[in-house]
Formats: sequence, C-alpha cells, structure tokens
Amino acid sequence: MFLQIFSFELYYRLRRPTTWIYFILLFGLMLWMMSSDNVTFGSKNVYKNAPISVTLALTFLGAFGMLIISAMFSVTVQRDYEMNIYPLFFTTPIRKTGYLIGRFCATFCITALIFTGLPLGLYVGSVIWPAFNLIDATKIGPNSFALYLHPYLIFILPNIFIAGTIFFAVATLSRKMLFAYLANVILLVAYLISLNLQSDMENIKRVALLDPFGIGAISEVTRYWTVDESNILPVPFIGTILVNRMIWITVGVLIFAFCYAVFKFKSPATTGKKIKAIESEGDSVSLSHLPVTTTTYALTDHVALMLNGSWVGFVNIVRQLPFIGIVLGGVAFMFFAATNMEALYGTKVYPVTYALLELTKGFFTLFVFIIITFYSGELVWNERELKLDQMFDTLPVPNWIPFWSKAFTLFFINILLVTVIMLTSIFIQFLMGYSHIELLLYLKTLYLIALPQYMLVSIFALFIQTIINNKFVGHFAMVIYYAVFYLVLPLLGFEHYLYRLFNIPGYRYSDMNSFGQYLSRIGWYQLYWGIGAVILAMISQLLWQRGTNENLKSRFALLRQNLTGRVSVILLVLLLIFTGTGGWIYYNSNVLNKYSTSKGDEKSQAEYEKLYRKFLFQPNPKVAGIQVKLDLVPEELRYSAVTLITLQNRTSQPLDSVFMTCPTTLTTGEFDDLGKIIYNDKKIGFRIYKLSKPLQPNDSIIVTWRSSLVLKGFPNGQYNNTIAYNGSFIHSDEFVPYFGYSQDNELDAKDKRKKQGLAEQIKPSDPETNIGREMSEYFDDADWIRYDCIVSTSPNQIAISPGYLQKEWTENGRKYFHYKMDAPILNFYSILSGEYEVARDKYKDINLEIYYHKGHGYNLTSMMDGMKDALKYAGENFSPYQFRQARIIEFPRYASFAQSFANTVPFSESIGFIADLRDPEKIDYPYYVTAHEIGHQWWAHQVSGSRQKGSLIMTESMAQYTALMVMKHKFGADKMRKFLKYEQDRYLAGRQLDPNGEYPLYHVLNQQHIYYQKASCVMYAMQDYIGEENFDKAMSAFIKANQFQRAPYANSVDYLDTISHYTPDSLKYLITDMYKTITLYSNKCDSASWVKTADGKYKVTINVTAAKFRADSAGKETAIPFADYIDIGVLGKEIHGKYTDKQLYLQKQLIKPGKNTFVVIVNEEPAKAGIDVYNKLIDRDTDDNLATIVKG
Amino acid sequence: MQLSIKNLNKTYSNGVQALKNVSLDISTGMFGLLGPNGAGKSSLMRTIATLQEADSGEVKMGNIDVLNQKEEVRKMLGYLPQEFGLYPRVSAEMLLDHFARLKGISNSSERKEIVKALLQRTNLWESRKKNLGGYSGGMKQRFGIAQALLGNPKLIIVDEPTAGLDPTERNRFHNLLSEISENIVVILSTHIIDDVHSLCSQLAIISKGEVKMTGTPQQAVDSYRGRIWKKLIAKNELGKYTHFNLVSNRLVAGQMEITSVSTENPDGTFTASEPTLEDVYFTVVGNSLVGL
Repeated sequence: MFLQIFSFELYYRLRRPTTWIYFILLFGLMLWMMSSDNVTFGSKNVYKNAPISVTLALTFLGAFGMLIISAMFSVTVQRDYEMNIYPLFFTTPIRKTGYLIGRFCATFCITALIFTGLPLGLYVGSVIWPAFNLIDATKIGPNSFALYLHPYLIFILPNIFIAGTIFFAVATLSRKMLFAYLANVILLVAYLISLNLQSDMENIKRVALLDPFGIGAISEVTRYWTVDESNILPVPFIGTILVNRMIWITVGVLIFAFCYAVFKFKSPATTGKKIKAIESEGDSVSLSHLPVTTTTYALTDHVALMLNGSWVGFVNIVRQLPFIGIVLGGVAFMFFAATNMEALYGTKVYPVTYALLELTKGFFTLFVFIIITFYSGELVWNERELKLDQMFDTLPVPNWIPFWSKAFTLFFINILLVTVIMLTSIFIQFLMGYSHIELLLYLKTLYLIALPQYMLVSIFALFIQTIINNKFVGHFAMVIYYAVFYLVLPLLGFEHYLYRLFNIPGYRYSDMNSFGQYLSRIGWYQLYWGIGAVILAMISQLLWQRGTNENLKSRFALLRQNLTGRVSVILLVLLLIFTGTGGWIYYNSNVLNKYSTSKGDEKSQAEYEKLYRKFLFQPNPKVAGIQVKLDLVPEELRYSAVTLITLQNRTSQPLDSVFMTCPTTLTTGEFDDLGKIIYNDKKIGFRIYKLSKPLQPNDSIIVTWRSSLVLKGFPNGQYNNTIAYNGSFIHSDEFVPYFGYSQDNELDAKDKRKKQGLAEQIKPSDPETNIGREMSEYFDDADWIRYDCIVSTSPNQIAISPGYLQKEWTENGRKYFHYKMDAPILNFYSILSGEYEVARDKYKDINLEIYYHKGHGYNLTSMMDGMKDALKYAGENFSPYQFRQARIIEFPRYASFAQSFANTVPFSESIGFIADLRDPEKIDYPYYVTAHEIGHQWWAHQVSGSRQKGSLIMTESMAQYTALMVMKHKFGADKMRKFLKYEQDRYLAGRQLDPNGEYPLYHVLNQQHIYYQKASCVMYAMQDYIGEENFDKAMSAFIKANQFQRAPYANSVDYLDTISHYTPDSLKYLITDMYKTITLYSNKCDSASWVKTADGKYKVTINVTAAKFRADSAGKETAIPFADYIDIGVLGKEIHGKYTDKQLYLQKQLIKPGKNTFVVIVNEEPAKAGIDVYNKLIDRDTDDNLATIVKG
Repeated sequence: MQLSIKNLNKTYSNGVQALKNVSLDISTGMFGLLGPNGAGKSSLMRTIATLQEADSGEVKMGNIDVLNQKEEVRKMLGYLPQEFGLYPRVSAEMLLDHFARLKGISNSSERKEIVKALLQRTNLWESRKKNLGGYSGGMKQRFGIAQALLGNPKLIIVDEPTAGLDPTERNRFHNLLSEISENIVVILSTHIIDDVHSLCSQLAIISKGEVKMTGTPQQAVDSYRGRIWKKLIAKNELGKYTHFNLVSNRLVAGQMEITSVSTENPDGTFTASEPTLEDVYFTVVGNSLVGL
C-alpha cells in the first residue's frame, strides 16, 4: 500500500510543471552565481568552488528555498482537503501509515530532486564557464562532483527533511496553508536570532546549534579558516555541525512522530456546528413581490464599496491566528534585536528612537515583506479558493474595486504593522529605562517613509499575483524580486534607483542633523514609484482574472475589451507623468550630481593610476603653511574658501612646475596666482601648473587657492554630507589639492585591479630597504606645517578647527572664529561646525573640551577620563604633550569613526556618545576610543614613519597600545581579557577576508585586522613578557629619536631595533614570533587534578600539550620546534562574572613541543588550570587552554 | 426584455468545442436548459453571465450587447453558479448585505429591507446570524438564490441548482424558483428533466455543444405524440431489440422497459405510450442505452 501511494504521489508530482519550474530556477540561479564575480558566498579570496564557498552557497540558497519546501510539503495532504477528495482516500482500505509516510516520502524525494538543482547548477557552472572563458579559470580549484555532493548530503537533505516535517505537520494537522506561512516565519526567526546572537562572542557555540539550517554551525567551525584551508578542506561533519544536524534531525523526527500520532484518518469535523434550520413553512410570501430597490453606480458608491470590502478583508485577516502569530514573531524578534543592540565589543547603545527605527528598517521590513508576499497571494486567490469567484465576478462592479479593495486591505495591514512597530519600540524604550521618546520622529519615519514603501511593494505583489496566476509561483517570484532588485542589481553595478522597481533609496538619520538632505530624494521617488504603482494597478485591473477564462489568450482578449479609450488616455497621461518624474530625478542624480557606481569609481581610480603614477617621484614643492578662510553657509549647504598655501622647494633643483591632484567633488577650485595651467584632467582632477618663474631650492611662495562647494539637488548614491545643516565636517583633502600623485587613491583589491586591467599593485617597499624612506607615511606633500584658520558659520553654530581660538566675533550676521596653531602640525586638518553644548575640564594646564549634541551627554565622564588618563600616561611615559589643549567634537553618524587631528578629535555620534555604560561589566569603549585617539597625538602627530611596509605599527598600533595600557590601569588586567578576546577573534576572522594575503605585523599594509587587532594582542603580550615599564622606556627612547622628523623617516625596522634593545636575550625570540613572522600556537590543557597536601595546601598537577606554527601569507601552517615561556596558571572559583576568576597561580614556564607536565602548590581550592590562561598568545582554539581541575 | 443568442461558438484550449453555433431566443419566464453532463450548458451560461469570452457569435439582452457591454449586463444579472462556496466565518446577513452593496443598493434602509425580505423568504432569517461555514447544502443554495435576486435583476441564471439536494430541499428550492416574477428572464440549467417539466415555460435541449431542440415543454412532448413505443422485456433480451431505434432502457421492478421511437409499432409487441419529456430528451440527446 505504501508503495502504491508513494509511486502515485511521485508520478503526480513529476508531472506537475511547478516541480520542474523550481528545479530550473534553482539550477539557473546557481549556474548564474558561478559566473558572477560579484555574488559570492564566503571570502572572495578563495576559489569559487572552494568547499566552504560551495557549502555556504548551497546552505544559504537552501534556506532561501524554504519557500519551495513549504510549497511542496504543505500541500501534500492538505491538497486532499482542498480538493475535497479526502473521503475517497479515507474510505479505502489504506492505512494511515501508508498514506502519511507514503505521501511524505514521495514529497521528500521530489523536493530532494528539485534541490539537486543547487549542486548541479554550481557544478555545471564550474565546468562550462571556464571552458567558455567566461570566468577566470584560475578562480576554479580542484573540481569534482563529490565536492558539491558533500554539502548537499549533509546540509540540504537534512534541511529538506527538517523544514519538510514542520510544514507537513503544520499543514496536515491544521489543514490551512496560512499556518504553513507561520511555520515559515518561525524558522526564519530561529535563523535570524541565531545569526544575531553570534555577534556576541560568548554565544557563538551555543547559537550555532540553534540555527535550523546549520549555517551558524558552519561559520562557527570555519570561523578562523585561512585562505589555504578554505581552498582545500571540506566542511567537516564533526563537532558543532554534527551536533547541530543531529539535534535538528531529531526535532524533525519528533515532529513527524507527533503529526503521525495526532493525525486522524477520518473526515474533519466541520468548522462550525451545523445549524438546525428552523423551517417555518407558513411564511411563504412570494419572491415575486420583493421590495423594489434602487441601484446606483456612482463613483462615490464604488469608493465606499471598495473601502468597505477592504475593511472586511482586513478584519478577516487580522483575526486569523497565523497572522497574529507572524506579527508576534516580528515583535518578539524586535524585542530580541533591540535588547541586543550592540555597538562595539559587546557594549550596547541606548535605545534612542532612531536606533530602534533603524532596526525596523532591517528586520521588521523583512517581516512586512513576508506578510505582503503571503497575503497578496491569499487575497488575490481568496474568492477563487472559496469558489465565490463566479458570484463575485458577475456583480456590477468595475475591475478596480476588487483590485483596490485588496490593495487597501494590504494597506490597512501595513498601517497596523507600522503602528505595531511604533508601540513595540516605545514599549522597549520604557522597558530599558529610556524615556526620551521622539513621537514625531516615529510618525515621520514610519508613516511617511516606511509606510509608502510597504504600500508600493503591496501593489507590486498584487500585480505579480494577478499576472502569474499561480499563488506559489507568485510567492517565489516575489522572493526573486526582492533578491534581484534589492541585492543583486547593485552588486552587478546597476545601481540607479530609477530602475530598481519600487525601491526607494535609503537615508541615514542623525540625532544631530535629523534627516539632513535626504527627504527630497525620498519624496521624489515616492512620487515616481507611486505613479508606477498606479500604472501597474491599472494593468492588473485590465488583466484581472474575472470569470472563468482559462488561458492567457482570453485574458488578453479581456484586456483589449477593458482598454477603452478613456483608460488608454489615463494610462498615457500617467506614463507621461511617470516619465517626467523620472526625468526630473535623472536631472538631479545625473546632471546636477555625478552619477557614480562603484564600478565606475573603480574605473576612474584605475585610470588615475594608469595615467599619473609616473609622477610618483616627480620633484614637487612641499606645503609648509596653510592659512584658511572658509565661509560656511550650512543652512544653504554651501561654502567658499580662500586658502593661502605656502609652497616650499625642498629639493636641490629649481622647480618650474607644480603637480597636483584636485578634489573632483568641488564646485569650483582655481589658483589665483600659480602660473599657467598646462595640463588639466577635469574628470580625474589631475593638474600641472607651470610657474611663471622657477622656484629655487629652499625658496617658498604663497599661492591663493579659491574653492567652493554648493550642494544641489540629490544624487543617486551617497550624499556629500561634509556640509550638514547641523554638524558639518570638512576634511582638508576635500577642499585643498594634494600636491603630487597620491598612492592612497589607488585601487588595492586584487580582483578589482585585475578587472580594470591593472598589474599587481606596487606595494610600499620593505623596511629592510631604503626605498621609500624619503617619503612620509601619511601626507607626503608636506611634513610639518604652520596652520591658521578663520571660519565663518551660521550665528547659532560653533565652528572648530585645529589650533587655539584667537578671536570670536559676529559680522554681517555670521559668526566668525579664528584658530591658530603655534606648534608644527601634519598637513591634515578639518573644519567642523554645529550647534554644540560644551563640556570643559582641565588636566594639569591642558584645557579639555567636548563639543557634543544636546542630549548626547551620557558618556562625557568616560571621554574626559579617557583624555586625562591618556594624556597622563603618554605624557609621563613617552614624551610631553605638544599642545595645551585637547578637544573632542561630535559629528553626525554619516561616518562612524573618530579621527585625531592636532589637538582636535572629531568623534562620530555613533561610536560612543550613546553607548549604554550603565552595566560596569561592559567594555567602556567611549573611554577606549578616546584614549586611542589621544594616543595618536603622540603616535602620528609626533612620530609618523616612512612610506614603507609596517609603518602603521608606529601610529595605529601604538595608539592602540596607549589605549590598552590606559585601560589596563583603569579597569585592571582581568577585564582586559575580555577586550583582547574580541581583538584576537577579529584578527583571526579577518585573515581569510584579506585580499592581500597576510603580512607579518612589521610589514603590515592597510590591514585593520593586523595593525589594530593583531597588534593589540602582540603589544599586550610584549609588555607582559618584557615588562610594561621596560616597553615604555623603549617607546620613550624611540619617540625622542624620531620626534617631528623630516625625511628620511623612521620605519618599523628602526622601531623593532629599539624594542630589541630593551628585550632580554632569552625573550628576543618574541620579536621574531610576534612582529616578524605570522606565528600561532595550539596550546591545550589535557587534564588537571589536585590533591590536598599535609599542610592543608593544594598540589595541582597540570598536563598540557603545546604546538607552534608559522603561517605563510595564505595561512598555510608549518609546525616549528620551540622552547618558549608560556603562562601556566591555576584559577580559583569564579568570584563575580566570567572574566574575573581568582588567580591562584600564574608563572611563565618553559614549554617544549608536545606534552608537558607541571606540579604547583596553591593555597586555595582550585577550579581551573591550564596553559596561557589569559590568552596572551595567538591560538585558534583558546577554549581548550583551560581545563576543570578534578580531585585526584 | 428578450435574450437572443446568435451563432455562439467556443472552443477550449484542449480542443473541446463547447458551443457550436448556438442560437437561441429566450423570452421572459423560466427557460430550462437541458442536456447531459458536458453538453455545454455551463459554458453557455457562463458566457451569458459575462464570465467567459466566446470565440464568435453574439448575445443580446434587449439592446445590450452581452459580450461587450459586460458592465451593463451585470447591473441586471442575478447568477447562481453550479458550484460555489461562501466565506465560512461570515454570517448570512452580513454577506448578503455585502452583496447588496456590490449590486449597487447603496441606500442602507432599502438594503436592510431587501436583505430582510430575502432572508425571510428563503427561510434563512432564523439563522441569519450564524456563520455560513455551518450551513447545509440546501441552506447554501437558498442563500445563493437570495443573492441572485438582489437588485431586481432582469436576467437570472441558475446553473444546476438542485444537484445534491435532498427531495425536501429540492421542493423548497423549486417553490422559490417558481415565485420569481414572470417579467424577467430566468435560465435554469439542469439535467433533471422533471425540474424543467415542473418549472419551465420554455426549454432547449443541447448536446455536444449544439442546440437540439427548443420550444415549450408541451410542444416538445406534442411533437413526439404517437411515436413513442415501450415494451417490458427480460433483462437479457435487450440484444434482440437493438435494431428497433431504441432511445432508452430502464429497469422497472426487475424487468427492463425499452423505449423506441417510431411512427408505428416496431414489431407489434410494443405498446403505444404517451410521450414524456424524458422520452423527448433521450431521443434528442441520442442513444443512451445502458448495459449494452
């Protein structure tokens, strides 16, 4: 019997066209994905068919294909109810076992067949694309079908089973498709939650189990894989992955068992009680004498009808359990996400209104789209499924009534949803003890920005359902729409919103600058797509499935009938307005502003290099002084500036021309008096001027550069937010030319260079050579300059620039500020202006100021302390502070960094001003960032190295070191462990994403995970090994030797020499391990036990295994012999929190490769013991460093 | 007002020709459309009810071109489809009110009145607050006729309304139908011959998409007067009589009654019989012998 049912189902499904449509879709998608350079899963640095990439592509798309699984399994049994065929089955001698299992197994087989499209598509792609030369054959590694089969077997098949049982059970038991949608959402929520939880390191292992698709487990297991490992290793079926699969398969089996047990093999009880009709035969008034009614068909009647119908539909949906479930799912997720809103290092931010709203932009929008996708299908199919369609279709109402009443039902749902978002957010704010509720901001964002977007998508979804005429294919089409128009097109370089259907460009809200310039663009696009939506709605009405016409041909016949003259005219007019609006948008984004795509930008970057790199070593005058006069009109989004630039000839030859790279974003930019312009590449901004008379060695001239910027209209992509209504932040390189060819403008990613036809980038030379010693790391068109600045701004704003305030006055209704610097600074300055509150303090005779946005005063103490402690630490241990003042200036969150200018630190509102530091266990990152930036006043502003590999170690890594030490003294070494754990994690995870391949620290290039994160670990370990005081002595000596130097500049070899000088011979190996090579340990505590000694102490025996590796730039490791000093430690019971174990014993012991055993005596009962207990060394698995001690 | 159908043709994409040159003139009163399953009754009715496009031909209701002026037709149309569902979680009163609105009855007191009247007269008044999900088949059909009567229709189309109803409900339904005013066109399709006989003033018999006969039931019967011959035979004897232009056979108390159409007694053993509509139907529709 089983076999009969199984084979019938198989036969039935194989003949369904949807089966093959799904297969082709998946196959095609994967085939295309293999050909695309832009859409990749996992690191771009590995082969396109690296096992990990294949696995990720399969699992991600497998999760995306959940809709297919849902469509397949939900209807397996439900179909019989829907078609009312169930009595025929239930009355035959077949048994429940055969019926349920037979149907399930057949559906499973068919779905498994559909999903073979994934590995097949990738495999075929990997074979044919290189063969046709459509992708670079070197991007394909060793290939075999087994490579694709492996993830299919261990991820896709179980996922089909797991999701399948859920959908099967839900639909079979509830007999309603809607419940299957709910199951969809629940699976998605489980996945999103697991994804979100992973941002906290403490959770990674645990949540890897929670993800039903196993993606979390894959990323947990492969988190630290290097390029080399990713290229060869198959994703192992062990550890977290194995456990994850076992757990979820068990869940699937249990669900199926439950479904089996509960399922009754008999007719469903009818939903309501049958009504005993009370038949009063006497009442036989003839139907021929019915009251006469008047009928009217006015437009107002129709509008009322439409609204009435939509309200009825809305109420009907809202009362359904699955809908409530989906919404609650969204709400639950919002709660979850909001209470885990992290900024950095596991520290959350205050639930400010815009932050909550931003969450909803991402997560909740997904829910809204899901709801729109499902319910548009339900609404369009409602009458047909209830077999009410024929009655409705003969009613004297125009086609637009059913269409728009369904649209309005969706609109009502949208309104309900945004209201739910608002109320939930406000509730969350109260719950988190935050009471600054910005109701107006909620209303604007949700009802004027989010709601229209949802409404547009709603209409599009109805259109799709009308056109496609198959509910499930319609769902799938919507998913494809989201994927293509929201994600894929921009990746392919199609970035213009004019053709990204119903996609309204985003915005960035800032507490400081509110909506800034963004609203006009949003408004125009709302109008544009709004008209587009009305056009689609009209087309839908024309093609509306009315009546029982079966094929497209007769529907088009209907269209011709419906397309009356009046309708055509309206359509035409709408099309004209649509085109007109589009034209206006085009004018704004492509004429008033430059339309640039990331591809186009890469192209002009490449062109710059191709054309002008030859001028890299061109003798050129250097900037010796800057005098700015800048008039900023923030309320009109414009400024004009006159900059007097002192140019000096530091070469030994006379110079007759000046080379420069001008900022292309400026509206105007001309020299008054720099001789004759003999070359001008306006597109790229490269100019050559011929001086009227040659500049003799050591002579200087002062030239006048006039520039202006006027922001007009709106762009397609990034806004120029340097001028803001409140919070302008104008960087020197935005309004003054760079004198010479700037290597910083070069394209550095390998694959992008290749695409632009560039050879491998010429990297800065090794510090072992002298090439590049003459050039400065940062601003090679100058070394140290005099600086003076007068800036005017609107009367209610304060403008700030490096230097000390000389004078402040009002003139012509503008506010003027004059700043002057009395010490030499780097050719690196900025001008900020905003409505600021000012907090003032003093450290010794240094004035401290924080300019902050009103209401952002939460962490002023942390920042003040950060400044004081860093000034103190660096002043006492390195060298004196060169300025008499230090300032922090908040700027809008269009960028999220802090940057150190001379005595001036612009600090983004998003990285600390709203950090919630009420929990003292959390990392105080505003303090940390402040200390880091103040550290830069020494490490960059006193010493900056040559333009060679590794020079960033003297600036970025040393600023980081300063912050680490300041933090260590403030919070204690114990708390540093948590911080360093994050640093080590980010270093290790960053390795496989680095397109350049890994360099040892002393050769570091522009690689954050190395010069920040690895450096944190290395610097911290160094000072631990050789002693903090000793290390600081080295630094002090280094700074003294190289302070404010001119060419030739110090480099990382000089730096290491200084450290080496202060390092005892026994530890000199550390310099090789930590700076000069990529060295990793694999340390492990195998076991530890204790016995009580006669004198009441505890004798602990610790068995550890150690190994040490050297890695090459691709991460290929080789074990090396060693005899190193590594911490052996014993910890007591936890006192409070996870990072403050009581330390009972800690000693560096000489460790040899392999097994080592140590016996130590401690005074208290020990809890844990191990090797490198504080994770000072780089080790890819630090969890096994400690072991719980057992009583021997 | 009169409904006239001229040369209507429809072929489905699977090649089945559902309507072949159908021409009919239907005047006010109840018009019965008889035919076997698949004869094209529903296709014809759906086409008149604006639900389906025809390939060619013309349908006129008075001056209105039914195939092209759908909106106008719908204003005067009441339609009860062969098979339909109702919102399960909505009460009869609410849904009927909703339909009334859609039919254009915008005056709320009028609407209230007509809804009440229709619910009362279809005997659904007592259960008007109950959700439609719990209605029996008969109640559903009565609700169906109630909605079809909203808005004083001039043309009512009822497609196989009594299929699946028990005899009581069927009777009740017939009573309802018979009360509908005689000033309007009512088209009733059915394959139950008795229904037509008891209800309709005119009829058409269609088969395989073609109109085989039209007229009043009496005319139909009259035209066969004197030509219907019947005989009771043993069940196994049927083979012997096949050459006698038999049109039907049926079991009567264990024996078989065969019917032959002929101007004279086929072999002298038949008995002359007063023609029934059933005899006419079988004759027109063609050979429908069972058990050969």
